[in-house]
Amino acid sequence: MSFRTYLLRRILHIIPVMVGLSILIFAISRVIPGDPVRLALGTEATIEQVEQLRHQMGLDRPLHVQYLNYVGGLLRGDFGYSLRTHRNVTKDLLDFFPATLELTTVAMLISIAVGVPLGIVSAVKKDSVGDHASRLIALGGVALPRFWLAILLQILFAYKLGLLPTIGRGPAPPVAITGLYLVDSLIVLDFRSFLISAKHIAMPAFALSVGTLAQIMRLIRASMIDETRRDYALAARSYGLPSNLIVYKYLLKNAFTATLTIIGLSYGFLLGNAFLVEYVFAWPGLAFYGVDALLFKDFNGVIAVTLVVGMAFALVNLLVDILYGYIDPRVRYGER
Amino acid sequence: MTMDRPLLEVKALGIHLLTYEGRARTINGVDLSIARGESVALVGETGCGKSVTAKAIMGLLPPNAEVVSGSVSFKGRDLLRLPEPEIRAIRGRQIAMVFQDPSTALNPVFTVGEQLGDVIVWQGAARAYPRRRGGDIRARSIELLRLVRIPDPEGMLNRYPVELSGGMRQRVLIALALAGRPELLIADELGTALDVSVQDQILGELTELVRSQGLSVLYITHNLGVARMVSGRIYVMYGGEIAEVAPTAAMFRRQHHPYSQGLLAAVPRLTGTIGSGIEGRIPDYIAPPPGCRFAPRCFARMEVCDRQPPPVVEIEPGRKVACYLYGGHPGGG
Amino acid sequence: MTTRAAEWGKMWFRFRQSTLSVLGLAIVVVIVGAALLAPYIAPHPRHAGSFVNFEASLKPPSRTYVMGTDDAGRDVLSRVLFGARISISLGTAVLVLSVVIGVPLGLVAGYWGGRVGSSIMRVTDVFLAVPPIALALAVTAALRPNLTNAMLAISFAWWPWYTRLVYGQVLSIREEQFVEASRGLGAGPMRIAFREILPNVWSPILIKATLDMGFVILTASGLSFLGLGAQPPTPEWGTMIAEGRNYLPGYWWAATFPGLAIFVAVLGFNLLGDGLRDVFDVHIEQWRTGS
Repeated sequence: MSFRTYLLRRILHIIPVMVGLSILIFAISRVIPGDPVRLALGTEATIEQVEQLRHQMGLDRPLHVQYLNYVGGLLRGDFGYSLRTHRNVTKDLLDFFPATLELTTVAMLISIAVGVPLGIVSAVKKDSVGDHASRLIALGGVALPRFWLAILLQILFAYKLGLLPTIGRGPAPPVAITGLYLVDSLIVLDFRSFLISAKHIAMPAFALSVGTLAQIMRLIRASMIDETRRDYALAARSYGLPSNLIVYKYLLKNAFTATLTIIGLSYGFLLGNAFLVEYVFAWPGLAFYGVDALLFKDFNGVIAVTLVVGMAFALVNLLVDILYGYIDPRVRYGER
Repeated sequence: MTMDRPLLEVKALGIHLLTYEGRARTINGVDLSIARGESVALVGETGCGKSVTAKAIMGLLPPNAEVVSGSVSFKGRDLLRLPEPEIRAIRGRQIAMVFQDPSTALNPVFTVGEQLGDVIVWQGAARAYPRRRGGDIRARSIELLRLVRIPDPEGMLNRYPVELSGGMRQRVLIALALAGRPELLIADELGTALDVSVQDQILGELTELVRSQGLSVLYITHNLGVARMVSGRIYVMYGGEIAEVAPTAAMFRRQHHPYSQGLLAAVPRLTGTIGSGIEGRIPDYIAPPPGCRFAPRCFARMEVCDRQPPPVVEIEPGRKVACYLYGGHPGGG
Repeated sequence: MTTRAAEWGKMWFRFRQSTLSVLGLAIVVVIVGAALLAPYIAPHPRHAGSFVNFEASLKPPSRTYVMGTDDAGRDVLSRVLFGARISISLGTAVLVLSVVIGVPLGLVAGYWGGRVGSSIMRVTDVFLAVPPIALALAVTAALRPNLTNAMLAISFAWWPWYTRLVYGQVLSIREEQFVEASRGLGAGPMRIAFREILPNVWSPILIKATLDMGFVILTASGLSFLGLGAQPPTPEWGTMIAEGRNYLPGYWWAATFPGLAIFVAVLGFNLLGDGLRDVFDVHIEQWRTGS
């Protein structure tokens, strides 16, 4: 099957998966033992008030009717009403999503920008002291609890050294175009604002990136070593090509394609850990909102966050597949 | 005198491979020489060390290989003792290798044009020397592709290896090897991964090319038919040693070493009975027999064969055998 | 043909060659040992539960309290040891559940294929659409926050990975010669699934489970840290970090040692898993090519 067909199938595949996910999450959220309505209104609320709100929110209807109403709302872009923030969840999502997008993207960029070069160096200088040291650091990076690291960083850089702000995202830049502070401040060339935002994002992004960074480093290293053993690498040497060319052009491109799919998967773990890191740093993102929704048992919020996270994950994987096909002609031309 | 000096001369080459199971004495005193413009075949079964010899010449031995003795003289210089930058200058430009499996020897993620262009530009130099312009590179690439009889060379430049047939890929490999205008070509099992008819065609074209360009070639093969077709002299290799060397026609008329005889008898013919094989297996390189390495499988085995390695006997000018059957006491001629 | 014992001996030899792998094994042994023996080796075992002694509150590491005390005056070392017990048992429970649910599903989906197979994989895909931590979190919203529910929530998110792993393995082995041969001899599908396919599939499962142990511990402690898992006074490492967080940086030991414990435990399982992978990968090739 051609690459285009493959991509089309992938895109179409997302739909039933998302539907399935919505059913799953919806079903889970309705299993709540507590009564979220009562929780939202507080203990002073009368029974009539509780019943009224319950009716208003359609919670007294049978489950499948509730689900269909919900999906209907989704298709209109309406995620429902949050019992916690007393606002439409859609509005909440729009407010909180850019922060998480910015955080995860920066974290991913850090992971790649640091992980890939370290992996290459480690592979090229295989079995040297530097190699062993970086491998150990990489193993440590994966094992480090992200939230613990976040706390330690907070203590060190914010509390003790006062170099970076403890929590939060900082003030918004003067213009809000994308909702990504770093991008917006650059667009209007406001470098002061950029610096402030950068300082705020530094620790959370770093704490978030550590595990993925380590994984990428190990993977690049393993892939590069694998590629060095291949025939075409030997052939390239036999033509007298310089080793730098071989390593940074010939080997790297092949090693990178192997790593690409894992990068997509790592993004998933990055998203997952975002819940913890955002919580520690009070980073006003989707994940932070999600944790609050969880603690409060605001089910509309929980469902919405889960669906958005699932969608984001699926899109990233799709992007990775497209990129993979672009880089590796074997995928495009149908050979495996 | 310079005309008489061979282009490549391998003397008493000894290589050990350090493996998980121990030290393998893979190459045990190999002598080989190739004159200018000569095509020589190195024939032997899988595992006899032919590829290791080829890699030693190119300086591409794996990291666990140790050269314990001998020399590889190319135009008077010992390649084994040259520093890496100098060897790299020789690779591609003076000696080039054509690899055996076209489906793995080409980088899958770059086009033919890109790979060819890189080789043309870098040709064994630490910096691109001489600096060539894009137009020149393209012209030279097309010229090379034409040389190996590729139809539509311009279109081929933009193709990826995955789009090409086995035969086309093999031709591209040959073009890559010829890009630096080498004097010596090493063809490692050329065409074994291809259909027989395609292999035939390519070998025929290559022989013609070699002749017209005046190249020296070392053909490494396990296929006697191929050896007969392409070479003027044949070296028969067994167990990391040269068993026999002779001009091709003479070798096919009469073989001296029992192993060579066995090889020829093993080739199936269209008439007569099915060819017979040679019983036994290749020697254990980690604990090789103290005497002749072929002795355990040899029908003419004598007591002296197990005790000491046989001397090399020159039967006639250009024919040598390492076998006790042709005289010689251990350690002498 | 080497005997089974000789094969295991060879694998052990190869395993021993890597210092890191042996280190991993050592760490795992220590942690599991701590988990099993916690009630006997902890200096103050009663501190692991709801114990208060405000006079000994927040004391720095000393000879009596090797890792210091937390805000309720409890010995951090004892709590860390009992925390190992909790983490290991939770991790084991999650993995056992995941394997018991995920592996057979993967076998069925891979071997039988057809409608059954694709339905199973469709469902698996739905679960895999969200990062496991997110899914586990979502599930905890529906349940009361405690350790058991955290374990259930994580298992809920974890089993599909095993289904997918086994599915892929079965697909690649299904067409292999020895399976064809078995079928040719008249072996039924159940027999083939369990006698031919499973033996070739269990090593990736084992490797994954070892590596997963670390990640499960990380996820569980994360959940507890957020307050959605083990509740105080349970000495779960994540909970301890959440409690001790308020007293940083001055009284650093209450939050730092549990964190270190998580780190060491995960590191150990990762190293061990890596070591197993190095040993088994080669072995898998040998099994499959018969060399």
